[in-house]
Amino acid sequence: DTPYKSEYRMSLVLGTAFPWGKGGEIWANLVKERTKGRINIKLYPGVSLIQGDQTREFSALRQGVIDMAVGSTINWSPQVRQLNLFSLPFLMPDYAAMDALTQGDVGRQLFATLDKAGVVPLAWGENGYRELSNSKRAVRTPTDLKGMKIRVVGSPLFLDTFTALGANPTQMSWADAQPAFASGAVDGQENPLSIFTAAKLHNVAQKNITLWGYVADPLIFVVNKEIWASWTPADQAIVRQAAMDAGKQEIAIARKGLVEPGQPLLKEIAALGVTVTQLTPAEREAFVKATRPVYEKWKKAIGVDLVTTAEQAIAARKQ
Amino acid sequence: MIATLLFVVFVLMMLAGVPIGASLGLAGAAAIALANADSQWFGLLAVPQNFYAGLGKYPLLAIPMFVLVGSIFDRSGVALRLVNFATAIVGRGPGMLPVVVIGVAMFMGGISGSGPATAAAVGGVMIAAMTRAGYVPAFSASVVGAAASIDILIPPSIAFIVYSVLVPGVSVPAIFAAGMLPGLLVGLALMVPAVWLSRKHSMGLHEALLPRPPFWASLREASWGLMAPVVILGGMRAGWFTPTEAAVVAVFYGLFVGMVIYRTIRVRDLFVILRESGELSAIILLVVALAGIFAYSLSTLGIIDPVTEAIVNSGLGEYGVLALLMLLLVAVGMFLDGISIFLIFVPLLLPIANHFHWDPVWFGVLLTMMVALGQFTPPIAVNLMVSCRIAGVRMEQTVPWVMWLLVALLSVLVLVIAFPQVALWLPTRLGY
Amino acid sequence: MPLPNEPTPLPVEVLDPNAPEEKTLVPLKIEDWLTVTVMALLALITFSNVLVRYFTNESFAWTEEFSVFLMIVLALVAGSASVARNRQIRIEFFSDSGSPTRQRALARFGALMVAVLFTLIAVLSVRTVYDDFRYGETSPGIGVPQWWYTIWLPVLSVAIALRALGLFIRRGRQP
Ligand code: NA
Ligand code: NA
Repeated sequence: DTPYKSEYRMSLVLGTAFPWGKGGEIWANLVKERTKGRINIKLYPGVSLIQGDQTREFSALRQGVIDMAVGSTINWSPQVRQLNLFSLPFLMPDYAAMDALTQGDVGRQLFATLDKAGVVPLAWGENGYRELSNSKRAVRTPTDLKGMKIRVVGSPLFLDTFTALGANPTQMSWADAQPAFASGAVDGQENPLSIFTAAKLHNVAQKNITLWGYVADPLIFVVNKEIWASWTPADQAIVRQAAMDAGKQEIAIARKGLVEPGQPLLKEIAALGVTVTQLTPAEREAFVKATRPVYEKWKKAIGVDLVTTAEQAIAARKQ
Repeated sequence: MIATLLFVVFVLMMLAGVPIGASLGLAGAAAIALANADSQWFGLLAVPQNFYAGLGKYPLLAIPMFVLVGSIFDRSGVALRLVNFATAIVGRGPGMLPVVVIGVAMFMGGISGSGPATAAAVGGVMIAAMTRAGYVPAFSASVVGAAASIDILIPPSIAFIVYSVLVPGVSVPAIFAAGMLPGLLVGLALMVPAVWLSRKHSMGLHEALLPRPPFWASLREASWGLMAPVVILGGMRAGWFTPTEAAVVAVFYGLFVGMVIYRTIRVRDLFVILRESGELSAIILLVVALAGIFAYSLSTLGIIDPVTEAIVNSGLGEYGVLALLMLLLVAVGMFLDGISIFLIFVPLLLPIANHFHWDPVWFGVLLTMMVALGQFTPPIAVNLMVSCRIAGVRMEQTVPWVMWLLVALLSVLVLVIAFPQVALWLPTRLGY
Repeated sequence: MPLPNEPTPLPVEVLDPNAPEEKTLVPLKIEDWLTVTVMALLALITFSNVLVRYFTNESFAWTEEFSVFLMIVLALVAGSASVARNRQIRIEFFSDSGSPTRQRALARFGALMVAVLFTLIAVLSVRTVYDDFRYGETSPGIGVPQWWYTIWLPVLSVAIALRALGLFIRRGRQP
């Protein structure tokens, strides 16, 4: 039997100032406490175990360069194309839809896929709905987006979506992006509101937010296969339960200020001098229509069966 | 235990003359294998992953492009025309040529990204002229070597690009802006001992006999060179270009000036320019990539936290620790180049900086100033090596002159420590 | 390599036109032409991106991924030439002084270490390429198979290791 390591390496994209990092921290603490210190976990935010390259995190995890991680479906989609599901534009209209996917059949199927791809998936968390911000104008229609230079994350699906909306998407690292917003080289970006506030994007000219909820990226709590096999069944059960508990708490933190009556987080953001635009159902429909060809194209790439299962689960969700 | 091995193997290999990149990679790989003896492939799959991820970063692309800009402008004849123009402004007289050297080096610093190349370009034009005007060659070599060190402070700067890639949250434009004012101040500070020493030792007495270039004619000639930093820095500021794009625009501008206006660069020179700058960039990039392996083993061995704790709890206090770091870096700077210093020490020093809540941009400027200092501190000083070779003097001969120039740089360093705003005002003002 | 007691070479940042070029079994022209081509491509791609954006308010999002790939190729290909020319950044203080025998021994040791390291990287990165291939990984920007990019890491690492081995042999032959 392989002996336990004195310390396990957990990779995270964001630190404990964000819900994402908090989720990792809670998981690590619960594991340490419940295994009575048999399993110690050290956090490596900023994907520092592979020099900050988010898109290689999954490969590194599979190869044992990283022992465990809380990772985003977007960052892992180059390795697991099915994870692009959550980036299909306007697939999930609300939190209930997201829960219907992650906590239902789709979630189980994806976990089976991840298992085949070489890791042990344990629980779901959440980064959040990605909302659009920009320095130019309040965006209510796809026409408002025309010609706007928008920074997106590294995935071809995002490039397709923004190109379809008439915007000019550009991929750049987060470090490059912030001065680009300040100088006006890039007009806008899309990220969960928790990141907008924690990164103080209103200070770099991002004065308009449109709440369009076009995609959301769930987080996944995973462990490397060899590491998993090296633990006793009792400890495996503890780590799994801890991941599920941490995931629940993390989702609550990620939704804080957005699910309470009156959505207090929106008031906080508006108080920073940011114009917060909420779309009417008709306005939102215009964006849905404009991105429909992208949706259809990527539905095939992701797998028609999986997407159809997802669509049915969403249609049947409890409101 | 493994950590000790990591450092012992690394230091011994470096001292034995093994390339720094290879020393970093091998020491890192050895430490990874020992620490992960039970894992698949001894955990060594971290080696290619970190090598590839350490290289595959878009901001690093600015390095080959700025190296290319420097290589083109060094051959374009811009330095000579800037010298004429600067001489037309300050006039002829004892101590004026050193002022011209420093001013031109500052200006070239606004185009090129590393010191030694500027030392070669400015030294090649100026050292012989200074000797004819009655300056001691060792003094001329000292002034050129020190002046070229400003290059890594005034943007663009390859050292700053590497720092920003290493430190999340520090963007290239922000640290570029932060280096501007300290760089200008170092230039002004160097002029003081340069003029004072010239007068004290009655050097440059023949200078007044030389003709003064006509102002307008030399301005017209130099204007193409004067525009280059405007293109690079202005274009970035206005949001037209990313740093990499600014470098590339400057490449084509420099080629236009060199090939069409001054006709100093011929078509067949392009091969040499591209080959040489490509090779130099690769030399730098390989060290960056291999340092990724070292950084991985450093962070996973769990030595950074105890070292940080020992230092911050040593009772030295904030300024005591800072003084200690300065001594350490100046000592290391005698043997290592700036980029290697960053790659080895930034992962170790950043937690200390975070503990004291030092601004990472300010800290980067401080580190770079110490590296600049090391570039003209004998016995090993890359810029001084170049200028001494052009002047035909031994490095030991420069010591009595270099001392005073060191004092000048140190005084600006103290100023930046006492008033962080000297570095931070401009980036804050520009909204970075 | 400088012969014993010759002045130390210039820093790598400065081209020394007087430095004689050593003869190698496989001509360095291969790496040199690739280096020139890749550098020119990098400059042209980035410049055309600026022009296209200026005139059409559009940009090619795919160029970033391709440029980063070209930069990695540059680092490895031009790095291979720099290994053959022995132009790596290193501390010359101790290795370039002392008896000719010592200098030669240290030079050979350095070359051997480079060869060992890049052989290791070549072997290990084969596994990375194999994983990229069998799991069907795609690139994050354009979405092409990732192994199209990573396959060059083992190939060019072998080239660097061979260049280091060549340097090791040449240093052994010197009187
Ligand atoms: Na510079
Ligand atoms: Na030095």
